Amino acid sequence: MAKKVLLVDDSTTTLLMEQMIVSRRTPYQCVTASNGLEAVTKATEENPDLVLMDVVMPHMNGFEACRKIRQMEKTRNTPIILVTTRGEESYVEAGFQSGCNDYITKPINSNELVSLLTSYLGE
Amino acid sequence: MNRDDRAHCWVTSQEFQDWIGELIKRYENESERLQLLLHEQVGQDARVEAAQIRLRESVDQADALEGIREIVANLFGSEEMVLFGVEPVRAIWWTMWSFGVTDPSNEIWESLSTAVTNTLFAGELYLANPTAAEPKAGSNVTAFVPIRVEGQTVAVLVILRLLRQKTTIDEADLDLLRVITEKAGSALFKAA
Repeated sequence: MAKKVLLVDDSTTTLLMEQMIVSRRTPYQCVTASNGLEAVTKATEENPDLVLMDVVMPHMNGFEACRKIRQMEKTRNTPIILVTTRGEESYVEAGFQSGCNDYITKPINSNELVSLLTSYLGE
Repeated sequence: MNRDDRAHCWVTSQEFQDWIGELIKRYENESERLQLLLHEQVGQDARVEAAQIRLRESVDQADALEGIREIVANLFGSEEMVLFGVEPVRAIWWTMWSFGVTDPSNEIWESLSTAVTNTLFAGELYLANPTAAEPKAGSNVTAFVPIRVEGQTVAVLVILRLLRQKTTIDEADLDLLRVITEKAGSALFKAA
């Protein structure tokens, strides 16, 4: 069965691009959510193998969603990669404190994204 | 030594083995390079394709503006932009919308020479500094992107400072900006 990646972003453009890259260059299946709150629900329902999530989103931001996902028994160990526009140290540190495993900065480089996903999920 | 002996001698020589090894290595490197290029192409196409779909599916002007913001911020790499409506015949420019900037007027006007204006009105995008992401000294302007409707430039998107991590502008970035030139006009003005 194909591994599943939950893509979370309030930007439909980013979601579209990420879906295209993942579906064309990896064997993984995609599910999507457009804000942190929806991400937490989808993480429980879909049980993804990895979450790739934007930070700045309405309703619930990526840091908060990351903390919620970490608190749930079912998704406690699911790898979470945060997608951030700001690569500053303090911002990245806040991401790690919220429980993320890794981060990638926008604009997303497709090779970097595929390498990162593969490093967690395998070929 | 007859012809067959000579051939045999050459085939078993160290030189030949080295040559074959070198060829295989070269082939593997080239194969890896092509694979990487192909993957990059898929990535770039994904950016361009996502931008095209986003603009095409904009439901009204506000949604089209949000689409432009998403493309520039998330796919290109800048969170500072101003959109001007233009009327080329009378050379009138007016601010339609902006994001991430308060009063950028002076530096934009300073960059707008007649040559730049003519380039934009001819439908070509203009990079303030085509070789690097760092804008020219004293200016935060990165690019002027004309927006066309039926062969006319009807608006110009000015992109100011790039994100810190965005260090180069390559051909694929220009392809992305050309999507804005070609597709944003109908998205912005379809209801008008």
